[in-house]
Amino acid sequence: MDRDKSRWVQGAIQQFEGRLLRYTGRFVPIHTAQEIVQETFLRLWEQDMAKVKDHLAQWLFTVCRNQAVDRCRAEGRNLDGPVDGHSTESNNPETLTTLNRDLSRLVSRLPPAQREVLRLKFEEDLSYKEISAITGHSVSYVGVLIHEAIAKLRIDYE
Amino acid sequence: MNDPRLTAYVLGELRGAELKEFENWLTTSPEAQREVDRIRHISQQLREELGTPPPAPRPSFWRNTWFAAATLILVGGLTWWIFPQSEKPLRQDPRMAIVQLNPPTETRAEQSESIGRRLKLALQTQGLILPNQVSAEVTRKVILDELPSLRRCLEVRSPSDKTPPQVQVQWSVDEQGSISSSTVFDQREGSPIATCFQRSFSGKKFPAHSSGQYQAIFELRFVK
Repeated sequence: MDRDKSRWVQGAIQQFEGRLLRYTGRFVPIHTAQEIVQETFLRLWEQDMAKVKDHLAQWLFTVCRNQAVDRCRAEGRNLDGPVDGHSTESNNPETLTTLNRDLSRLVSRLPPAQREVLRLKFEEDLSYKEISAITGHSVSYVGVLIHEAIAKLRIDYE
Repeated sequence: MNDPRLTAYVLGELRGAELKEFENWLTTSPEAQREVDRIRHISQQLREELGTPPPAPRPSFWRNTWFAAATLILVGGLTWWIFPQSEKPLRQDPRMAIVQLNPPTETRAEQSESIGRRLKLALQTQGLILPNQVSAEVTRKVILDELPSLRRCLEVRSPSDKTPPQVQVQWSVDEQGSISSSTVFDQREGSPIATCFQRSFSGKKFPAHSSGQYQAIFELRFVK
């Protein structure tokens, strides 16, 4: 059982570590994101595998996001606020490399709520339902946010 | 035309009766069809632009490959950086379990707990479940109690040496969960820091506490 769980957690780490770092790194400084992601996997280890494995991605992203929210709250700022005085988007090295590309730049300029759900949809390939569980928005509101984000991008991009 | 169902349809989010109803309506509305095509186009662009896999994270402590050697000695390790980290990729022994520590942001107690918990995870997730888990206490004994010595050693580095020191601590754990030996070294063999570590720690013994849950006695020694 423990070995099954070990393999399962290792598989989760391989599949999600980079994605969780990328996601969490948009809210908090990268060293904090690393802490959060590590803590998330530690919590995963402590979970009942049967209760989590059917919605693993959703669970991992939600736990990361909740921790990021707590960290931001402790620092007296919103999740969408600047990290260390810089924009969270431009703080991320991965984003910096893509900023010269038009569409990425336009995405980074979207309102935070739209940007977050859009990234969860297109970067992480999560469903509206999963995004709803992660962000706390209703499923229909997730749909509205993504629809509006795409509409904005079309106007600016095309 | 401003209907979120258009986007939901393109993204495969409509199901069952709602999908059927939407598709029926779509066949009757050329404008909606054009809109769907436009959304599909930008969605494709977004997938190409954003859907790339994230850059590989720095080699992480839990992904490294371990194996039980014939001697049934399991090797664990711990690395931390006392100074700000560079962007330079870290060299590491593929068997090493790597745990990152950010001393300025954590209290001593938090460091101890944090390292211990992560180490525990590293050991567990490798499938090497130890009867008595290597605890935060053990880690604290080995690492944090010796932090002043480690700091002293780190200070001996040359002023021209811009590379942040990478201190690595390695110990062996047998199948009963006892720590039998450890090494501490700078990644750069032969560096003044490594020499200092050798001088400071060689042969030192660290009796672990015995709370009943953890009963390991281990010796810290250097292996050249």
